[in-house]
Amino acid sequence: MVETALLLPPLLSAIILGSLYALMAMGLTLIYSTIRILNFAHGAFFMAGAYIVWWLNTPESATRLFGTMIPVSGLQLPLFVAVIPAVIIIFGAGVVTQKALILPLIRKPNTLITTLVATLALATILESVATVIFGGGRFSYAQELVVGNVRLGELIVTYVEIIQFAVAIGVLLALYLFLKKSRIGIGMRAVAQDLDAASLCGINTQTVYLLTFGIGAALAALAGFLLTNIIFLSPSVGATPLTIAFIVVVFGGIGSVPGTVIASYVVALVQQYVTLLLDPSWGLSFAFILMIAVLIIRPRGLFGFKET
Amino acid sequence: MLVLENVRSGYGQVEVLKGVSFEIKKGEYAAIIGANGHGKTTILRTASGLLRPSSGKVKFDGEDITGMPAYKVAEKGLIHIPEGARLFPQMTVQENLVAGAFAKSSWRNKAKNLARVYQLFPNIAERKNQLALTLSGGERQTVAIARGLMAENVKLLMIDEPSAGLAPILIDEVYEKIGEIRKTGVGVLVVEQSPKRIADCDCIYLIENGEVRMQGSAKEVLESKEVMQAYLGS
Amino acid sequence: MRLRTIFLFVLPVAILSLYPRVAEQGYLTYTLILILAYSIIGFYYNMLLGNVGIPFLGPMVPYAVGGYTAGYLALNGYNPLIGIVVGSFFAAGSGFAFSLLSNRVRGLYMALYSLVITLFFHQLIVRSDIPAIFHIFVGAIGQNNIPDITLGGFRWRLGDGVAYYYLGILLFVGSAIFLKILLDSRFGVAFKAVRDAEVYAASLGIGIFRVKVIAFLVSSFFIGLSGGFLTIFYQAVGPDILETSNMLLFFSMVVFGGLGTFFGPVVGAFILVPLNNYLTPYGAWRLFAWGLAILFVVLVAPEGAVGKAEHLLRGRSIRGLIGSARAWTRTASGTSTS
Repeated sequence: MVETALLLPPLLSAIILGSLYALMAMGLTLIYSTIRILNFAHGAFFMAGAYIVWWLNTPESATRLFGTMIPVSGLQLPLFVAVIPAVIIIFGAGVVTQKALILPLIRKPNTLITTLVATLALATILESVATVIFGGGRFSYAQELVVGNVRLGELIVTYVEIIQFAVAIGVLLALYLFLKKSRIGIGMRAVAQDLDAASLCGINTQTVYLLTFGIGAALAALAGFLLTNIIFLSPSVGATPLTIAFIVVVFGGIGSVPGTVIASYVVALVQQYVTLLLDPSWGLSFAFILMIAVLIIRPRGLFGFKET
Repeated sequence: MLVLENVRSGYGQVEVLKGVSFEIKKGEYAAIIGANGHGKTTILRTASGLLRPSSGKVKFDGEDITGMPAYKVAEKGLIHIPEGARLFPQMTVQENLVAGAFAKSSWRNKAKNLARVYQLFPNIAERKNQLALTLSGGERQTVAIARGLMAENVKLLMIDEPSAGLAPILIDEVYEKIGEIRKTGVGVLVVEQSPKRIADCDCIYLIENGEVRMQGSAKEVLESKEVMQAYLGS
Repeated sequence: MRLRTIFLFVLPVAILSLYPRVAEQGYLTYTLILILAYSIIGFYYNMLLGNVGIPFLGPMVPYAVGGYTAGYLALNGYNPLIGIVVGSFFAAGSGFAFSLLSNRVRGLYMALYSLVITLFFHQLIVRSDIPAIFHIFVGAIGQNNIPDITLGGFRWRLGDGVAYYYLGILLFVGSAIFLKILLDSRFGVAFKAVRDAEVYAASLGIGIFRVKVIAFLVSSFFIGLSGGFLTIFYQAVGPDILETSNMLLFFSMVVFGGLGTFFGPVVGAFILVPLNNYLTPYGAWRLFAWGLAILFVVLVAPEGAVGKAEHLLRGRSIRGLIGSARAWTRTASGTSTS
C-alpha cells in the first residue's frame, strides 16, 4: 500500500498543471473548431506573451548581468499589471495573423497544408525575432508573483500555484460563460457548427474568425505568463507547451471544448504519476504513449468529431 | 421585393444559373419548381449572398444587394432557410432560435421574438432545451423556419424544400404554418420539388437547366405541358 | 513527355560538364551535392504530400533512420555504400509503420499524429536510457567520425568530394527517373485518385490502403537513401535532424518549388540550399529571413515557383509556345501564313 503522502503531491501538481494545459490547449481547440486550421504559431504566441511581460517588468539593473545590451522597457510594471497589455498585444497579433495570413489561404486550395506551413513560418519568424532582440539566454521574472506558501494538511502549496490555478480556472470559466451566453460567444459556436447557417442568421463570419484567433492567441499568451513564473523563459520555450497542447487535443478530440479540458487533466495526471513512479524525463514520453493508445483505440479522441 | 436580373452563378468552373430573371413582389407567395440539379437551390443561395453571381444583379426592397455578404442580406430582411434545416447540432432548440436573432436590431428584441415564435410553433416550445441533433425531421424543419423568423424585420422568407423527407401529415402542418406566416404580411418563396403543395401560390417559376423555363400563375403553370415535360421527360 | 525526358538528361549532362570548373571551387561542389541530395528528398516528400495528398509531417523519421543506419554500419566496419543501401530499406520500414497510421486517420489527424509521433521519436532517442533497439542513435551525442567511402582504393572525400558529387548525380538521376516512371504508371493515377476522390476510387476497386502503403514505402526509401548519403558525406549525424526546423526545411523545398509539380522540389532545392548556406553566419537572422521567405511564397504564390511558371504560361507547353513563336516569325517575315 503506497503511502498517501506520496500519492497526493502529484495529484495536486496535476490539478494545477492540468488547468494550465487546458488554458494552453483551449486556444488551439477554439481556433480549430471555428476556423478549421491548425495553428502552429500557438507556442510562439505563448513565448511572445511571456517576453512582453518580462520586457515590461524587468528592471534595467538585471540586464547588466548578461553583459550585452538586452532591452527592457524600464517601466518595471508589477507582474500582474504587465500581463494585461501583454495579453492585449498578443490578442491583436492573433487578429492580424488571421487577417493577413489565414484569410487569404482559406480561399485557396490545400488550406490544411498551406496554413500549416504559414503558421510554422510565423512561429519561426517570432522565435528568431525573440532571439535577435533578447538573445538566446534563459530568463526569469525579476520577482516572484507572490511569495509564500500555505499548508493543506501534509501538502504544501505555494501562493504562485494557487494563483496559477485560480487564474486558469477563472479564465476558462469566463470563456465558458462567454461562449454559452454572450452574443459573440453564440456567434462563435454557430460558426463552428455550421458556417453557412451561421451566415444566414446574420452572423458576420469574418469578424468571428478574427475574434476567435485573437482569443486563442491571448489564451496562449496568458498561459505563457503563468508558466514563466515556474519555468525558464527562452525563445524556444513555446515548443514543449505546443507539443503538450497537441497531445491534449489529439487525446480529447480537437474541436471539442470539454474534451480538451478533460484531456488536459488526464495528460497532467499521467505525467505527474509517471514522474513519481519512474523518472521525470519519462513523463512526457508516457503522454505520447497514451496518445498512441488513443490512436489505436479511438483515433478522433475522446470527444472528437469524425473527419468529414 | 426581390428582383433577379439576368443572374449567372455557379460553383467554381461550373456555371449553374445561365441568366435567371424574375421578380417577387411584396407579400407575394411564390414558388420555384423544377427537377433536381437545375439550379433551384443555387437561386436561393445567390439571392441570400452565400454565392456571388458572376454577372447580373440582385435587388431587394429597392436596394442592390449583388455580392453582398450573407449576413448583411439577412439583416435586410431577406431570410433564407436552407435545405435540410441546417440547425446547429450541439445547441439546444432555444439556443438555435436565439442565434437566429443575432443581428443587432434583432438581438435587442430577442425575448419578444422568442415569445412570438413559440406562440406560432407551440410544439417546439416544449422542446426548447433539447439538443438540436436529437430532434426529428419535422421538428427540425419547424425550428429552422422559426429560427429564420427570429430576425426582427423579416420581409421575405425563402424556404428551400420545406417538405423534404417529411411524412405527408407533417408536410401539411408545415404548409399550414407557412399560411399563418403569410397572414402577417411576410412574403414567402418556396423551392419545391413536387408541384402538389403549391396550388395557392401567386406565382410559380419553372427552372430548367439554369434558366426560367416558364412562369405564371399557379393554374397556368401546374396545368401546362412544360411542367409535365420537365418532370417526366418528353 | 519528350520535353521532360530531354530535361532529365540534359540537366545531369550540363551539371557533369561543369566539373572542370568545379574542381577549382570546392564550395560549389559542396553546394551542388547538397542540392542533389535535398532534391531527392524533395521529389519524394512532394510525391507524398502533393500527388497522394497525405499531410504527413514526419519525413524526418525515414531521413533519420536512413542516416543513422548508414552511419552505424560504416562505424562498424561495413562499406558505407552498403550502409546507405541498408539504411534505405530500414527507412522504408519506418515508412511502412507510418503507412499503418494512414489507415487509421486522414487529413488533420494524420498531420497531428505524424507530427507528434515524430516528436516522440525525437524524445525517445535523445535520452540516455533508451531501449536497446534504439542504441544506434547513441542518444543526444549522435554519431561522429563516420568513416569515408573508400571504393576504388581512394578516399572519396579527396578532391573536394568529387566522388560524392558523381554519386550524388547518379542517385539524383536514378531517383528522378524512378519517380517519373512511377507517376506515369497506373500507380501515379492511383495516387491522384486517392488524393482527389478517395471514396470514389475505392468504389472503383482501387485498394486505397495498398496505394498508401506503396506511397509511404517508396517515398521513405528514397528519403532514407538521401539521409544515408548525406550522413556519410557529412561524416556525422545527430538528433537535431528530427526537429521541426528540419521539417520546415523539407516543407520549404516543396512549397517553394510547387506542391504537386514534378520539378518543383529541384527548383526549391536550388533556391533554398545556397540560401541556407549563405545565411548560416547570420545566426538568428537566417531563420528570420527563412520564415519571411516562406510566408511570402505561401501567400503570394502557393503553387510554388514551377506552379507559377506553369500558370503564367497558361498551360501551354513549351513546345506549343515555340510552335507559335515560329508561326509568328513566319508571318512577320512575310512568308506564307498558315
